[in-house]
Amino acid sequence: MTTFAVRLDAVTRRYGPVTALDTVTAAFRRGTFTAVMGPSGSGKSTFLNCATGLDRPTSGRVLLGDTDLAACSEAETTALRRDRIGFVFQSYNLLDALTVADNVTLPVRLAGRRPDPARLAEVLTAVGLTGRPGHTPAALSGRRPGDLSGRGSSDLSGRRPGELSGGQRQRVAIARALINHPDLICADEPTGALDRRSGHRVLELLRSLVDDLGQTVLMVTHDPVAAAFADTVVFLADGRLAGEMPRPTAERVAERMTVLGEP
Amino acid sequence: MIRLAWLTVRTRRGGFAAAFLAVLCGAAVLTACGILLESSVRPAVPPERYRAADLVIGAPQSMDLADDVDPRFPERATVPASLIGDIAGLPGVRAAIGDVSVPMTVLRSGEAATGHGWQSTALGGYRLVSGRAPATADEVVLDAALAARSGVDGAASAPAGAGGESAARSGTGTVIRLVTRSDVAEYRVTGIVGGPVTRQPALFLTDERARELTGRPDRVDTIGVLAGSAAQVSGAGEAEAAAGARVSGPAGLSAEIAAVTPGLVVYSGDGRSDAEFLDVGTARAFLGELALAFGGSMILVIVIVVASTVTLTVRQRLAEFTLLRAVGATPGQVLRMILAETTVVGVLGAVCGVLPGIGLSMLLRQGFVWSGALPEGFGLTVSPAPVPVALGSCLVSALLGGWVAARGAVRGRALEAPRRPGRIRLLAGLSLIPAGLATAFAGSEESAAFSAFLFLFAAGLLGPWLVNGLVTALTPRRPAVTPPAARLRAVDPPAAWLNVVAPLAAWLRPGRAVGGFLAVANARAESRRIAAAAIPMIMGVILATGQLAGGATAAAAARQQAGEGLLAGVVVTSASAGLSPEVAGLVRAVPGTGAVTAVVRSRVTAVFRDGDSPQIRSYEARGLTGDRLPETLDLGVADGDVTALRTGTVILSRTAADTLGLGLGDHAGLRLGDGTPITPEVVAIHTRSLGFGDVILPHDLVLDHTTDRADHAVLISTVQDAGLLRAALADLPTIRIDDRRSPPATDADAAAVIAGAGDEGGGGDFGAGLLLTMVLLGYLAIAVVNTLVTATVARAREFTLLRLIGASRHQILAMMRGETRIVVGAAVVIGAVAVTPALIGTSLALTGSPLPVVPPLLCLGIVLTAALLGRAAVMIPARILTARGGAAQARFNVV
Repeated sequence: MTTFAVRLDAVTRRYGPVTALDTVTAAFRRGTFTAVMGPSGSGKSTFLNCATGLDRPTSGRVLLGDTDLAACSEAETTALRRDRIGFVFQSYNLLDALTVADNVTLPVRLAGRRPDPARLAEVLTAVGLTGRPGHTPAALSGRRPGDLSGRGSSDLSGRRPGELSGGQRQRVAIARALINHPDLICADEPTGALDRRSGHRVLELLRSLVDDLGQTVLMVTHDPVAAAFADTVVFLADGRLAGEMPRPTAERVAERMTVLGEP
Repeated sequence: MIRLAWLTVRTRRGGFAAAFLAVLCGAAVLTACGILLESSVRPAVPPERYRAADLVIGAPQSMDLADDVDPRFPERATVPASLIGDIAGLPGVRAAIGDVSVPMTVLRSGEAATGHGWQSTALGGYRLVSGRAPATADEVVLDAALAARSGVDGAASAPAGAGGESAARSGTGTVIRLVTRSDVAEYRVTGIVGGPVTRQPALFLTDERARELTGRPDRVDTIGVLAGSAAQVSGAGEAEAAAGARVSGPAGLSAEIAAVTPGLVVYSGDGRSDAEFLDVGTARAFLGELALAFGGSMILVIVIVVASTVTLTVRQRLAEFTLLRAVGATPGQVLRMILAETTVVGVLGAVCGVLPGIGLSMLLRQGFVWSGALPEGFGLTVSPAPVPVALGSCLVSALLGGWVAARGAVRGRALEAPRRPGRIRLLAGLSLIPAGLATAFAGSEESAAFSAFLFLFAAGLLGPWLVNGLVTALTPRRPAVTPPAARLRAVDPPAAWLNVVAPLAAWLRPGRAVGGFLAVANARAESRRIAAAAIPMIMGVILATGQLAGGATAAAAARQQAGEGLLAGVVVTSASAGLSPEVAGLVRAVPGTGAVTAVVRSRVTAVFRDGDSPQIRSYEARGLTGDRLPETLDLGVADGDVTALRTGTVILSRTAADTLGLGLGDHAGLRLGDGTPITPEVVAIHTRSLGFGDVILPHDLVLDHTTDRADHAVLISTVQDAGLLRAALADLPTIRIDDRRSPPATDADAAAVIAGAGDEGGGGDFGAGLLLTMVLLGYLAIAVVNTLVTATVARAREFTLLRLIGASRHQILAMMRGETRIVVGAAVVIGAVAVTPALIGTSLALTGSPLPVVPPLLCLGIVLTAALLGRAAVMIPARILTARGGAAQARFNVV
């Protein structure tokens, strides 16, 4: 097992004459929470696309654990994404037709396996969708799966996304990202569509996934407050790395962003 | 507002394509219907043999009804020949010429031609190109086309009175054999005429001979009048030269003639062709009825299709409308915006549909001519009149659909929770079911067929519930991870039901693969969307099954009835234009023959009162010689005595008697084929109307009132010596003698010789009906594809999302295949259930048996067509959307 969940090695991505990423080299340790920040057009999305194999670099290498993505076929990267990366999106991207439980276990089914009810209960517990809402994995550790007491959200797993609040939906999405024991969780503006309180809870949840479950989280964000939940913030500007900030605070991140050209 | 809408439509063409296409095709079909309808009320062909006549006098060929389409008489109503003299005596009349038509067959080639009297050449402006006029009963003059085809070459155009050598070269003097009904006679060709190109080749006999051949020398079909002073009357060739007289003459002359011929019709101008061609008038009446009936059902279908397509289009933009609401647009504004956009699309589509509509009407005309429903040369009247109707109805349906969808769009707040379909919709749908059942079993074939439409509406309204129920029933087990709470909510079907549906369910749910799982989940959660996608297909299944199986039921019943009812051992028919009435006498004279029944076919019109309004029904009729009838035919008599059939009596079918409200001993008010009113007494009620016609009258009565005065068949119960019979008929070469015992004849053979509805004139009509059914189904096929493609394209985002969380293209395609199966399966099952009452009702009305005839090949064809259409319409866009480019789109920020 390598130290790094994902490494980018001199990755350049050009779209015609436009260079979206310019020789970016970065590595993300397992068990860390990293925020990627930058003004609009700085290459954040291209960065995430390349890091997850959704897009292929014009030059340079991307290593997901030990696997060189350049050597993988389209089908192999699809399988790789499904089995080893969990995705969390700003717009949740849940399937309205499926129940919460079916949404969460969909990647398992897509992998051609039978969903394991115990694992489902485990991840639902981990994101606080069972038991009393808002509880983090730490608070719930030691509870048996299925041991769901009292009122509240215990029967959420049978509901459909349309019946949930935004914060709840994002938790479902995070549970889905967790279901396959991923090496890496990629979150793209996960709090962008949420009110501040729900957003805060989601960020706390991501934090706890790293601290309590040892997951690796890579989060693209605009929001200095969100970035402050990370261990490290990596800045991008004009497709290049523009420094990093360990142990960030919202104020310092905001200050740096102003320098980079974001108001 | 309209400008804004126009801009929106222009920039988002893709989103409106479906609605545009639905409106365009609908407008095209309605325009075509309108053109056919309009063509049915105007003279459609120019006169041919009457083109030089100034006026033509004939008997009325239709019944005058106050507020209904006048029913046409299918047989020629004739005029007494004595009138010719009366008219000729009027001042201003240069000549009055009685015209008759005798169907004849040229024996060597088998070509059909029509024989006329020599004088009538003046009415058509014929000119002798060689030879001379016929002078004796065995002389004939051919028109140039017939002469060329019959090997009598008139091209040498020897002048009249030329020497014998010249005549031999030109072919005049050749002897040809002509068959009138089944009688053969030899005629010497004395000349060849050039003149109008006619649909049927013409040949000219002496006037006396021609009238004699009609069988009623005292009557003529029509009287043609050439106007002008008596001094101008000269040779036939100068008829055209006298044309100038027409300007001064006809109007006043017409009135004078009308005065001496009360009750007759005076035709002039293009109307002369109505007198000349009986079939054109009948065809026009038929075309009018067909266009009205078809246009009526088409409007219903178009309203549903256009409205549901517009609904689909609007619903896909719900997010946009919510956004508009969020930035401060009032519900009214959003509603107006949607309606304005719909108007733009509706008007554009409808206008673009007019030209294809004209093209379609021409294709249909061609198809009708091929099928024999319309005579060759039938012209269409293309005018702007049908356009507003087509535009209007399409636009109104589009606006209706837009309004319904728009109301849903502006009313709600949250879009995320799919709204449950409303209670009103449920109640309306449910209330249609008893109405449909009542209509289906009301007892008449028409109401049974109409019930299919009621069930079609019911299926449309109840679609979401039906689909939901069906999916639940077919996929009973929930995925393993669903918690108990949800499992309790699902209906647990009984085990027996599982056995029934297991194979279907297995097909619908391909194993445990994730594609099938997703498909079923989608179908369960979004039964409304599935239903919307399935509705055009349900309509297609209902209409295809209803129309085609209805026809098959009738045809099979007719075959069966003919087979069971035809007892005769030997049947005599003719390959030429019918049997001469004398054949029956010849047969009777053969020693050792049993009962002999001559059969003549026609149609009669019944006039009766249903409540306050006079009603008209046209029935297939047979004239039968009544003595010893039970030995040759078993009519399936329910009541009364068939042997009582003689002058002044009638046998009615059970259906006809019920419709007309008549019983034994009552007098039926009927019009014979040529319009002659009769009121015979009902002496028996029979049950084999499909095999032998609804109205059975004495043979001679029917024969006297047909155009051709020919028998259809002669039935012989038994023949002791077939050789004697053959010898008796030996000099009639066109006659066919079928011994039905060796080899044993099938029902189909029986139907072929005796048949009821569905041959001769009926064959063409059936073909035309089938053609229109195909147009209807074609429109529905376009609607099916349209809806499914739109629904699939709208899911591009979902495909991308699935790709992002790790679904392979293969899995997404498997999901869509699964969904297609569910849509097709649901459409076929719902359609089949919905059409069943109509089929049973039709069968009950036609045969009294509740078992309709549904050919397995037809079912297979419908299911296969539905499956292929659905598969293509879903999978082709799905493949394009998930193709390589599609994978690259699965990126952050794009979603």
